[in-house]
Amino acid sequence: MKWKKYYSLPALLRAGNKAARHCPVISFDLFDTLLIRRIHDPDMVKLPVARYISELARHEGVVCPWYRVQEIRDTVEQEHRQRTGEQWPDHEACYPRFMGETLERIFGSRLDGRLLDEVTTFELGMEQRMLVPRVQLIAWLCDLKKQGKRIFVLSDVYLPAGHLEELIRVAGFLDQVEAVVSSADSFQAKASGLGYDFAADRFGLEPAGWLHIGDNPISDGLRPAQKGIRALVIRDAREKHRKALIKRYVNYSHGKPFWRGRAVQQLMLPLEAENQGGCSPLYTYGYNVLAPLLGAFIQGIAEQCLTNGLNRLYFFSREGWLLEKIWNVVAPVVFPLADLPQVSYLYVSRMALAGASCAHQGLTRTNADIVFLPAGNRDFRDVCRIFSLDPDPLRSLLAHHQLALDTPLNPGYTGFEPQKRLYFYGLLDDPEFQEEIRCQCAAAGHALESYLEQEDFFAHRSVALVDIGWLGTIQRFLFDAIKHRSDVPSCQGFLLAATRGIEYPTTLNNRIDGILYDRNRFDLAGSSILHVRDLFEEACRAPHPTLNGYRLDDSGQCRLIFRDRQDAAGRAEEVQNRYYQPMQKGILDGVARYASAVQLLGHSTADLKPWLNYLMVSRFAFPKTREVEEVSYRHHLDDFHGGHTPDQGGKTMLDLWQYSAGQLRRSPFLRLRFFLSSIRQRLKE
Amino acid sequence: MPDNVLTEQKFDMGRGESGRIMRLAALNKIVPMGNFGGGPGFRCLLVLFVLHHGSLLFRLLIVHEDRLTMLYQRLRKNVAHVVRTRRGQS
Repeated sequence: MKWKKYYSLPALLRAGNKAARHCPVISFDLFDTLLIRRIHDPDMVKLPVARYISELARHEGVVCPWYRVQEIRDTVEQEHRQRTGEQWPDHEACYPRFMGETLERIFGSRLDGRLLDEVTTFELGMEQRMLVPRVQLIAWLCDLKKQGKRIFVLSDVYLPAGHLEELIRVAGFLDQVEAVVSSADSFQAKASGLGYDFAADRFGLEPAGWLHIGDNPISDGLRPAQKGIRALVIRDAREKHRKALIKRYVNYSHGKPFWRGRAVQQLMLPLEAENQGGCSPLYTYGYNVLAPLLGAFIQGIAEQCLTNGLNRLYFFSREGWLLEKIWNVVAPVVFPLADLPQVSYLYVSRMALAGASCAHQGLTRTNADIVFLPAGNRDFRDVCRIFSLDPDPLRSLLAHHQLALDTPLNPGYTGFEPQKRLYFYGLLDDPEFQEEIRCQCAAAGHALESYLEQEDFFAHRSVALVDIGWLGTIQRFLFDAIKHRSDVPSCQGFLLAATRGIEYPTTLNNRIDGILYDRNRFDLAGSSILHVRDLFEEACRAPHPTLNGYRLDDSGQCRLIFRDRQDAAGRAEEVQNRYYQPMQKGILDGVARYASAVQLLGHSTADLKPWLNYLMVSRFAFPKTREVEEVSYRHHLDDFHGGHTPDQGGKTMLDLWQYSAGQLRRSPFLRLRFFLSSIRQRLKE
Repeated sequence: MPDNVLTEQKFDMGRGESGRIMRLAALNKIVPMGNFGGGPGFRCLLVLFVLHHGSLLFRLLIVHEDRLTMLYQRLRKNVAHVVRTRRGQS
């Protein structure tokens, strides 16, 4: 019987349809035929398994680094293949047998009966994440089944049929298959042709009415043809192309750190049915740009928590809403055996915490200065708005310090006098003023403490706090509100980027770290993220409104007070949330594949930093005009920023992402100018 | 909205990432851009750029895959032999 190679899937399907008319039995090879692998080398799946076993061994008090585990596995598998070769023409191995022996050699007397199941589940899970069903071929298989053909899957692999059935079940076509035959069960493989004899005997198949489809010219082409079975072999040029690329990305990443992240992203690329057209540009941007950055951010936090023994993690609202979801996707996959911290979502905001931060310490000069960082805050009314103060009882004290409620205290406004700012500082030093502030804020402080008690915040010696950035104001206010307590935990804050525009009051019990960018580390590329702070805030933002404060009800329980969404700003925020929904979906889909890719390649956040730097520079500092058009947010609500417009704001410089598409197109050097300007700023810091 | 796919025909991410890396790597030679871990390297960039844009090459050469593999293995064997000989001499 002749057999033929086909170099594209459509050509194979045409020939297959013709040949199948005369064949009641159709068999398929599994790997690289019905299921394709994301990675070029199937043996790479063994590496995370080796790391997993090494970690299991460490838990059992056995020191065995992952490369030693891999060596033992290879040796045992080789021995098994040699032994099989003495009895059969094929040198086959069976996973449960050789893995059982591998574990015995590693764990010795400490081997637990459940260990093999645990390792098998992990390896199959890893395989599943790297396998993608080939849609066209499976659709054809289903068609054949409908026509009443008998469908078989034959595979030469070390996994027994039971394991292959599990992989096929997840791929979604197990019900179409009459039986799965693996060489691991019978040690009779397709490579020698015995596998076909075995299947024929077992299922009563006649070679004359049998069509086999596979990818190996010998096992799936020559051998069945020798047995009188019709055979079609697929040598897909597109698959060769894809695998040549991933192979080079992975190989280059061994020598050049830059390519590590790119290899991860190449592995993340959706294939076959996953790669459907019609994705919105926002989804694509979320998947290709924000997912690796946020995935690495969460991975970095998990690494730090494990290193520092932090076992409680709080995600600050509202950006923490998406970050917590990302954590739930990334952390268990990348750190499968680690004792990860318990996570929860904490309802906080600068506006809600500002008042509570004054309940015990009063209003400090630094906290008051933070109010006047945004250009929209003008005078003492803005201070009252942010710290939830009633201005009326303070009028006389203001007057005593030659100030009024509407005296400009921000240099951007007409009428601002430096002397007035000094008077304001004098007011802050006035004990009577501070007493009034403490009195007004006491209820807010009490309610906050009650809320944190409900959330078990004080039940831990140290907690990790996660926020998007930038000054760490929320953590600053939070710590100010609770630092008087004897049971205050040590607070380790993790920010996507720490700009430290106002110096953070770092102590042993209260500190922040920027994961992707921290001003305390000179990082030119990482600072590009500062161009798109609002983009990250909007992309990660929860769909619920911002928190305005806490209130104790009659039963002493803390109630959360959310901002009313009926005003124009609230409605605009809902519009913005809907607009960025595809981006959030893209991020969540992307981080799932990011986690699998990182798990396979075994990279840490530090390993990926050169590529993340490239992503930040290329996408944020040198964005394409089309990206700015497509990705820029429509509305950005920030109650902390006041509603005033600076009178001396004529000189206010637009940020790169605020320029119109026309301006960006007309000025080819605009991006470079901004980048040079940012270099100057970094050097001055 | 344009019809976007995440993996394009060239198996590149987004829109022409390999070209974008090349442009930024070239600019990085003039303006310091930060830590790119030693950068992408000219040879790697060139090979990947050709590979991404070389789908036609794969379609043409796959027919001769067996002969090309034999040729490649023979070349590799010869090169390895030359390297071993030179090492032996030195």
